[in-house]
Amino acid sequence: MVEKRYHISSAVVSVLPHAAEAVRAQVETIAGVEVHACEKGKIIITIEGDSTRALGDTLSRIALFDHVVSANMVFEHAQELQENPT
Amino acid sequence: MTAEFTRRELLKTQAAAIAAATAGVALPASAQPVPGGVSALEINWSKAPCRFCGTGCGVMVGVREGQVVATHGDMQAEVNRGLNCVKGYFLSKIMYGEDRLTTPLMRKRNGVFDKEGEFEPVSWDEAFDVMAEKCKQVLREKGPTAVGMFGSGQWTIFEGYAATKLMRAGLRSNNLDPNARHCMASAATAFIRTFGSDEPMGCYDDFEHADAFVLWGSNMAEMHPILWTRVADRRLGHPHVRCAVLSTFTHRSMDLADIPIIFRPGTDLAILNYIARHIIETGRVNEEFVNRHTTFMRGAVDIGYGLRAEHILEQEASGAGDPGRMDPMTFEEFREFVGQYTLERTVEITGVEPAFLEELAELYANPEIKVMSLWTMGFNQHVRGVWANHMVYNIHLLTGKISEPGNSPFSLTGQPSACGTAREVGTFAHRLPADTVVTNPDHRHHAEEIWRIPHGIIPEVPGYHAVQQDRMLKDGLLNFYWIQVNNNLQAAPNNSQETYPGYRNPENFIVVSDAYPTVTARAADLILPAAMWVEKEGAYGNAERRTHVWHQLVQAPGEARSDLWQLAEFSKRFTTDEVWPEEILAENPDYRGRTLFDVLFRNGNVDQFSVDEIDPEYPNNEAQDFGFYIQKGLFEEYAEFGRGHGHDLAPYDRYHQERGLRWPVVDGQETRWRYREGYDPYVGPGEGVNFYGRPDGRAVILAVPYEPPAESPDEEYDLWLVTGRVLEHWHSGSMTMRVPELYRAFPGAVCFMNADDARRKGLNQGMEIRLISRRGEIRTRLETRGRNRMPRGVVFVPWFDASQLINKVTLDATDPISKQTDFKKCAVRIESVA
Repeated sequence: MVEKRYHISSAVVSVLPHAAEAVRAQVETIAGVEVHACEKGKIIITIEGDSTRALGDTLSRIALFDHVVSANMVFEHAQELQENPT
Repeated sequence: MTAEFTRRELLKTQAAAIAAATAGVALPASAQPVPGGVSALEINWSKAPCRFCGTGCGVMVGVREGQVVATHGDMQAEVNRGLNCVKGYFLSKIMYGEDRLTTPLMRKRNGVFDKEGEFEPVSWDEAFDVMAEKCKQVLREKGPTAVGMFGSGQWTIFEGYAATKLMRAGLRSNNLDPNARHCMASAATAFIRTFGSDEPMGCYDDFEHADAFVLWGSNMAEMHPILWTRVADRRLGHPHVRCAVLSTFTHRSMDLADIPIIFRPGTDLAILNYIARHIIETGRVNEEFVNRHTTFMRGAVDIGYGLRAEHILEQEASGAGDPGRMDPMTFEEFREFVGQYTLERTVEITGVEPAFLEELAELYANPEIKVMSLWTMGFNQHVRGVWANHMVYNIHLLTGKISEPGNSPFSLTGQPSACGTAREVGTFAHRLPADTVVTNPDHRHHAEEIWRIPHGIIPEVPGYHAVQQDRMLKDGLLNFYWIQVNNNLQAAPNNSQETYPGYRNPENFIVVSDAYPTVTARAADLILPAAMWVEKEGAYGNAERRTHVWHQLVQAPGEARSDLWQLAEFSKRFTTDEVWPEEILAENPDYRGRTLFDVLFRNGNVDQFSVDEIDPEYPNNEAQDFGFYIQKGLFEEYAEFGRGHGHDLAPYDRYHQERGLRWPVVDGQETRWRYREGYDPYVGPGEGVNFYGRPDGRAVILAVPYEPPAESPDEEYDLWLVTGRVLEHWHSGSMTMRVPELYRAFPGAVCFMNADDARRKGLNQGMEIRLISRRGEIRTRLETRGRNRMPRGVVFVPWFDASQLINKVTLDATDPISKQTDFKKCAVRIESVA
């Protein structure tokens, strides 16, 4: 049994509409990031990881991508999880 | 699949669902949230406003086992509708930094206070004993003008209100000023001078009604990301909408600009007068509006730069004696005045493309376009900041584009309660609550009535403003000084010459209340550990007049206590006989021998609500300690100042139910647009518009010129230095620098510089450099790429980094009217370290 800290957050990335698919493709290559939807210039993502640092870096990085108007956090949660190693 | 794995999937699905709902985007069926949702995680959720900027976003704060473990944007909050920016993302971590202060610390040697000693933990009793002794000694020897306090736009409303009572009515000193002096004094001063009442007439609803947005020096994309998202949604969702962005360098907000304008530092004044001229000369003045609702004035000119009086620039300034003077003039005289600002002359002064200037002027002149002007520090931190604010009102007033949906000159703020506390409560050196001032005998009388104290207690002479406090500390005229919720040693201009010496002056005793050991705290004599944000019940007021209250949700660590508790508890150490004049006590013998706590807080108002009225679901440490619901009592007493006077607040309890309400709140209804019939209950039938803050009901259109900054580049110091912020860090970084995520994203400040300028000087990207002014120097690294792209001759350095104090370099020039520092314009040179 190991104690692990699990971090999850979700965010809405607003992009210039013509570049939505390109930004989506770029965002999807980042480890821990999952794209859940992309329409009307809004990309819905979750960011997961075992370090808050990685999550924060990721969102700030996305905010500064070309064609991104803003990357805003919606939900964030951190807690200890107990997992049985498989 | 383990139970924990299911739990993770549940959380992820829930997180995505909330984000999708916030954005109005449908998720595929496979990603729908499962029944039970986040409530299954045994988290208690409560509302609070965000701790960081002046936008006032609503946050849902999740508490489990006494700790904040999660947050999400509050979907019921109209301001942000479920979104939070990157800073909001870290709200749950700001309280849990490893170096959080948990006990009072005093400089001691051989067991007693010694200014040259090392910090040692002490009890609250010992801390207050020494503090009271020092304060009383200064009062005895030098009187109330030698004691002072520096507060904050991050104080809760109760804290700012308790501070103003303690300082003015208790210790009888007006030397109370907030750090908000550094950020929006120019805006506040211009509101009072133009409309006779502080704060915007419009609100954030204007974002969804405007056809054009004009950013005057503001970089909303990085500094106000949530509001920027509302601008972007409007711009991208409605093809006719236009966006103009004016700045001294190219930044992220320019990405959305239809009209990008880079002007020479300080020359925005010329652009504003050019627009006024364009409106008049193209026949687009709204004559009916101007004739009925405005009055023309001429401002004093050559007003100096708010430097020390002996400075050559002050000696030479013919108008420095009365910088705020305004004299009536006619429309024709105004027309002639702005007539000097032809397109050609404006291009020459500003360096801007003429076609862009004309396009910009048309946004204002065209009566079919609803225009929202937005500004923050670019206008306010300006040696002519009050003028800049006036001039933007000029162009909205000439066209009647004001006080209605979408037509909105809007002054944004940088701190969560710059409006609610610093301005509305009146924690400036000259102010009392609800736009009243210490210089007006009727206002003082009124305040004394509400506070139930004898007449003559509140002093009539305004105290020292922020920059003057530093100068007086250095000069030894201000000797007891208490700083709460701000990091002024990092924030103040020219700080190694003008701020730090005052803190270490052997005649002075400096107290700093903070949650973390900031550079300011480390330079103090006594550090008091503060409870922050949801560790106490609080109330903030945002930039659109929205008052927002929250409950205490968790306990502060160790012995940290809220600023409210500190202020009230300290007041118990004084009796009226020690601080009030004998002649007033002789006339009011009932007040003899009572503690300041008795006369200020146990006065029949503040102590009138029982602890039984507190929601049993939440703790309230201060109320339990003092034995009455002190927050409600302070709020209700404070609200008396504004009710019936255009600043009406709702009953306190209602704010616990609402996501904030915009004042004036009359008959239970908030006010979205002031001064306009049909929206503002203070405007009567048939009046249309009434600027009722002024006795004649008319707003002022002010004729003032372009005047150059205090210091401009020359042969020796050949570059403009502009300072400011970046997306990830909030102001001085006291809180954000402790969040590892933010720290990593922008770990150290850099100097942004034009690549050609760098090449010409033989400097390379990433090189270590010395940035030098006439005041001091710092070492930093050169950045010629990145998000901020500089024009030739201008460099930009963010000020969040305590290891690179850029304010050693800046100049302590202020706007002579508002006394707000210009952090945006001084001359520097750059040398390679190698």
